[in-house]
Amino acid sequence: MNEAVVIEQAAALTSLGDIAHSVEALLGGKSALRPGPCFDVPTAYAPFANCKDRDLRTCARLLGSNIDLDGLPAGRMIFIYCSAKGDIHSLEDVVSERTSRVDVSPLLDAQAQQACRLLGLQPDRIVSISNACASGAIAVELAKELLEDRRFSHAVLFGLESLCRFVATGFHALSALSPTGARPFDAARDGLSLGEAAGVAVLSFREPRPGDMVVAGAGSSNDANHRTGPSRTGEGLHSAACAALADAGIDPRSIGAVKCHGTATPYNDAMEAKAIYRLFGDTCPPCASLKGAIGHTSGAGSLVEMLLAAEFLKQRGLPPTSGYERHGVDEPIPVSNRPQPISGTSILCLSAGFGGVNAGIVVQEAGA
Amino acid sequence: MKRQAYLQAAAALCTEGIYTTKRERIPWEQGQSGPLDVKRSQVWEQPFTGFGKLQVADRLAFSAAALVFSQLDRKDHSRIGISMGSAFGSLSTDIRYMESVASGFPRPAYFSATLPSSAVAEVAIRFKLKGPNRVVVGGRAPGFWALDCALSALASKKATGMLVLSVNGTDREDLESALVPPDKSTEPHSWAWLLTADRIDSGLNMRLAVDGDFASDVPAGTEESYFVEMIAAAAQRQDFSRNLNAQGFAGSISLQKDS
Repeated sequence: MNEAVVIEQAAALTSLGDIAHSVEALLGGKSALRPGPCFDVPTAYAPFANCKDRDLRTCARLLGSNIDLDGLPAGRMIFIYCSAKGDIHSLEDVVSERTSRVDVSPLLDAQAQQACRLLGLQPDRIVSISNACASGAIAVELAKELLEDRRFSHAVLFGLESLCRFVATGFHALSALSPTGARPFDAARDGLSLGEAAGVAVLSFREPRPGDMVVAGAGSSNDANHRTGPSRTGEGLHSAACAALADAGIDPRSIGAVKCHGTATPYNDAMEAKAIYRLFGDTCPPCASLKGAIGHTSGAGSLVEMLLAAEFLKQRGLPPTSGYERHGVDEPIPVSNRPQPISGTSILCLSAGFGGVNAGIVVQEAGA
Repeated sequence: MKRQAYLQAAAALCTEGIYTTKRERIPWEQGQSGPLDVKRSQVWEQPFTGFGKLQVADRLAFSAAALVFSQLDRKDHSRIGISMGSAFGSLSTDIRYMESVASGFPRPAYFSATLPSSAVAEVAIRFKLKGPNRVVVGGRAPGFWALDCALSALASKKATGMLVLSVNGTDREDLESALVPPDKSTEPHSWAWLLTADRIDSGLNMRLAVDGDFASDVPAGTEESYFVEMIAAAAQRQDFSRNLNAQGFAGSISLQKDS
């Protein structure tokens, strides 16, 4: 295999624990959703086990202890912070008290700087990407382009999305939250469940060794349709998926599974099913959404879910879609409430977000 | 590493007035304090009833984009993407939304604009731009980063064109809060460039070349002054070249007529 963008190291934290615990729990059909209220909002949600973890400082320390950032090879490093709102809880203090001192700034670039310091990194460049719920995926796409252009020798991606009053009341005001829990692609789905997650990944560009996980393709698009709602046709997500496959140089038949965005809102899942079916037709590989188990973790979610998807691919098993019971989209895409085997060496990760953004990432296991 | 594209049109709204690559600077009218007071009729000939209700960052992004597309005959923008640098993201809208939460009546219209990428949505919807998206937030040179990301997207052939936007649409009262570091440029502005990988029929077709590396370490205000100078040069169809050497930064940027 030629040089490729390799996932060198990864660590993540979801409401089910670190990557190993999350993967084990997800494959075992466990869900972290719990009854609300979530910041006074009546909805089921998936918080970190320890609420202190949602603070950027604690979270960065936890992730830093699970990854060997001291051992990074010499060379130019870019640090990419990817988040929709990050750790924005301090804005509440700012608005109520107009305080001049906050522990974590609500500004994303300040959070990026702080995350670097906490991880002990001194990158050559720091950049913050904020493309709504596709932020992590867009950051992966950007990192891939920069590494392939040899602008940097490695990229450290960091994503964090924590629960706070700002986020909970906002989605509630939009009537987007399920009162009882997200049921992706189910006939009775009635909204999303919020979650929180953080993740860090080190990417480099080199000749992969057998078993290495590789970001083989990435693509993005905009629906140009609506500020908050997805397109009804799925054209934009289909276009992003096609761009990712073209970037990877493979056709849809090479994809062994799809890690869906699967928010469990009526319109998102309907749109996504259209896009997936248009891409694969009747030979669609197994599909799963993680959001009925770990909640919707917004911008960081598309990075963290990609890291989990790489582990699913390694284990050749796709987790059940928690909350799914009765098929609720028009297209016969193979979603299941049981684990499904993954054949082949590639998984497609889809994400979409407010502002009409769509993204597709192809993760591949390098062969012998 | 040298990267190139064609500049087809550009526009800027800044303290001194409105710049486009089509005509000379238009100063603000009497009583207008600058970009935050821009009127729809100054940037867009067609009706847009919601213009005044747009959040400030969205309004400034739309205004710069509208000025760019008004200079082109081309109608099909489906393979054009957007790369936007946003100095403070959605800070003002975040604060307005949080104030509505504190009042006991969270406003969904505010919340849906509390993403830095909401400005991209407004532009994408209006001009049907369906290509790749990148939104860079903060740092001292988010516009340079947006340009960098756009050039990468063009080099990867994922888009035929990229609209590069740089926006600082933060209300002054929010800038005065202690949240904003003193080393950041706080002047409201927006500028937009349309770059394409190849020549097109109705554009400027000036060659943009970028060599070296863009940084987050350039002095505050550097990118605004350079981009306004470049737009003014392009309006005169004059070549432009600058070497950029600042802390952690070395490179050059140039604009040339295509022979």
